[in-house]
Amino acid sequence: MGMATLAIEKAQTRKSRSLFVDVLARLVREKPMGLVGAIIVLIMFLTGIFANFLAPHGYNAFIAGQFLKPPSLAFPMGTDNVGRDIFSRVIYGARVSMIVGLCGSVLDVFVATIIGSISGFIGGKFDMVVQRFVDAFMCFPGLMLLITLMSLMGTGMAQVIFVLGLVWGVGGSRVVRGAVIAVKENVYIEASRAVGGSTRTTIFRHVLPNILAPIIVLFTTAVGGIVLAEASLSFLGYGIPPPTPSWGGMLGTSGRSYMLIAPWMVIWPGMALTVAVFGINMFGDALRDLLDPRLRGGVGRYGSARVERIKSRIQSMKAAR
Amino acid sequence: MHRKVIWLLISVALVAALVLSSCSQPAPSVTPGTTVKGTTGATSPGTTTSTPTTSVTPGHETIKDSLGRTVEKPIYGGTLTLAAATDPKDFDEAFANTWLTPTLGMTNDPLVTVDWRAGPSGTNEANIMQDLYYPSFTQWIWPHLAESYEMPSPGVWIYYLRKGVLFQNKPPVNGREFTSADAAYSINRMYTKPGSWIYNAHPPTSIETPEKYTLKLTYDRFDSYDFIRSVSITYMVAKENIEQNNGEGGRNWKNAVGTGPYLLNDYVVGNSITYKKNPTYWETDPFIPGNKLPYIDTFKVLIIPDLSTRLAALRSGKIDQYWPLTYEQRQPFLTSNPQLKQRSITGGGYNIYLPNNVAPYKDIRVRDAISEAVNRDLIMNDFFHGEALRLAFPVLPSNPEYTPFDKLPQDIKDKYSYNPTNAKKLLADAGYPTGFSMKLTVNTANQTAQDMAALLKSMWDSVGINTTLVPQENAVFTSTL
Repeated sequence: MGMATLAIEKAQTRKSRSLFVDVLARLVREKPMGLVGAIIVLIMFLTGIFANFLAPHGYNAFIAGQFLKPPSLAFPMGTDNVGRDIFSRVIYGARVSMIVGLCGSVLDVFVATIIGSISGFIGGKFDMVVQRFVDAFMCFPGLMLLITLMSLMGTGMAQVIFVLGLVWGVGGSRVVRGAVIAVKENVYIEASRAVGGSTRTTIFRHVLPNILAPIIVLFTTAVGGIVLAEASLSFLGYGIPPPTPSWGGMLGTSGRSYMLIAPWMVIWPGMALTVAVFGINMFGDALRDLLDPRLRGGVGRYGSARVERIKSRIQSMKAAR
Repeated sequence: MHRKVIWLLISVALVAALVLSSCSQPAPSVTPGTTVKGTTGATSPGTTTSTPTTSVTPGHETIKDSLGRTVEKPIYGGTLTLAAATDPKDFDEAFANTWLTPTLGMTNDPLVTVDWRAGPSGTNEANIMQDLYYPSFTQWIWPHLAESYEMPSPGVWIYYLRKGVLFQNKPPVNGREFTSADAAYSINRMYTKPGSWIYNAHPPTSIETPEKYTLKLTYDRFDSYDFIRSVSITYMVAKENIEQNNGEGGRNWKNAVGTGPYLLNDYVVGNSITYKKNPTYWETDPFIPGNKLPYIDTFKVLIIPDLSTRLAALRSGKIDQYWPLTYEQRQPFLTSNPQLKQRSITGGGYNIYLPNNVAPYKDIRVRDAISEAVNRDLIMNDFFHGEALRLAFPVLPSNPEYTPFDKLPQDIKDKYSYNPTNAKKLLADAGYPTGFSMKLTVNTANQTAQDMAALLKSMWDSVGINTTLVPQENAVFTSTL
């Protein structure tokens, strides 16, 4: 009776909240740093979308007589060596970082899911061969591989997104493969095979929905890494071509040359990059904890803390009767 | 939790410190302490500059120089240390061009040189890069191993060599005298050695030595570049030295020998090159005749590939001099090393190359519009901080044919003046009322060019010329030229 009541209570609790609301509520309640990260990501996201309205000047608009000016009321972050408002360029840089980060992560997840799910589900010799290719790919030093691919493809936002998504995706396929291997031993997979389900059907209908949590985590953690990698590529001159502002590009090109006489040219984009990656990482960490209870000893949705609350509610209801 | 909050507060404090430091005023542009007037070489010949002056450190003995100036009396001795980015590629210019064999400029001499009294140390009439790095106009030619020369008929050059000039006292030349036979050999091999950068470049039809100190070069026609190639950037060598090791004797640094002011004393690959004063050098100081050259006993060149390390070496005093420095590179030295003397010289130019044989660029109205959309005054005054010249004439100011901008005809001045309204009108007249799209290829090896390209894009976008920048790596860029 007690166990059945507990089960009914669990079901009722699950039905009363969607996953999104549940995660959000627990983010606010249990993960303050994650909440800070989420706010930072949201600010960055909105800044990127509404950059045209937020930026007082165009990202390549020079202001005559205002070259290399320090921060002031007119130019809160100063101006660069081409007379451009750095505040405006940092805002537009958020758009670039968000586009590259989100699109690159989408491609990363797509590639990782394709490779990992097929390789992990089929298994056997196919899995072994595919994973050897993945091993070989991952042997290359990351930055060297990125630079080589960018040299072949040329600079540009599309090229950056493609290269970063591809490289991250191959590495992320390991995570997806692991999740798929864990899931495919479940009974419902066997049942799907037993009723004649094809491999594609089984993967799409039964495997992917059950590995959604690690995929979401992969997505969020990849955003920060891809933003940083894009900054590195732009810093080295292989990323977003000028004059499109990229935080890394602002650091690596003129910022580095004028650093000693105009430190604001590197401080502001550097800070923006730091805060953005910090926020993305904090948010990603919190999301990982909230969605995958096995990693943090059961503080997730169905973890022991939740069970304790449910038990205390049952007891209070019994007492009320 | 508390620890996280504490670390967060520490991080915020660090960031605030950075922000406050960034809000400080930039270092003021202090006028360099000691320069000769007209440091940019922007004055045209014939104009009067005020009497050149130099600074004199109190307490130092002074002397009058050949220009009538009171200068510090030169002191013999000491070591001058410079920096280079790369090792020499070779030690014999018959196998690599002159730019890659820098040691020859110290150990060997050409037949003619330039009048350094016209440079920044003297009257500053000549442009150091265009005229004195290698002489392109006879205006600044100065005798060197050749005391004088004449051209009795077009294509015939006769050089009268200086007597008593000795090779350095190293085997196999052992300090013997330089003669016309050495000059003839040196010039002939440069035209006949396949590795030479003037190989077969209009060689003389005959090279004669009618007398011990007379050299006669006969060409099939007059070409002023024959003068440059043969006698101003061809270094004189000794046959018996070069012909060791099957003609590659000069490629070994240990065999470096010439009539120049320094002996190549030591070379450590990737580390340093050391020169020692040639005690039998023939030349005297053009500013203080009677003073034998060189003044400095030891000349050392440190090989430092990384630019930041070279600048750090200058800042710490490890090297005594460095060039070239851009504006942003030298500004910090004004406060960190105020004792360093600075001098500006006119360097390279920035040009836009248009394919004049294809539309829309073959329409002169379009080209004029592109030019008039560019605010050159802003580029000179703001982007280059007042240290730039407007290129509105085919030659530089130091050329005797140069005409200053303000003396050009008005219609020419208009083409190089900022007039975006007229630029739009010209585009409309040419059939592009809404403008057109243009791609501008930029060499990524030059950050200044990239920054200026962004500035130009903004200017051109404002008149309807929708410009897309196409950065290209140096190798790709040069291959597409």
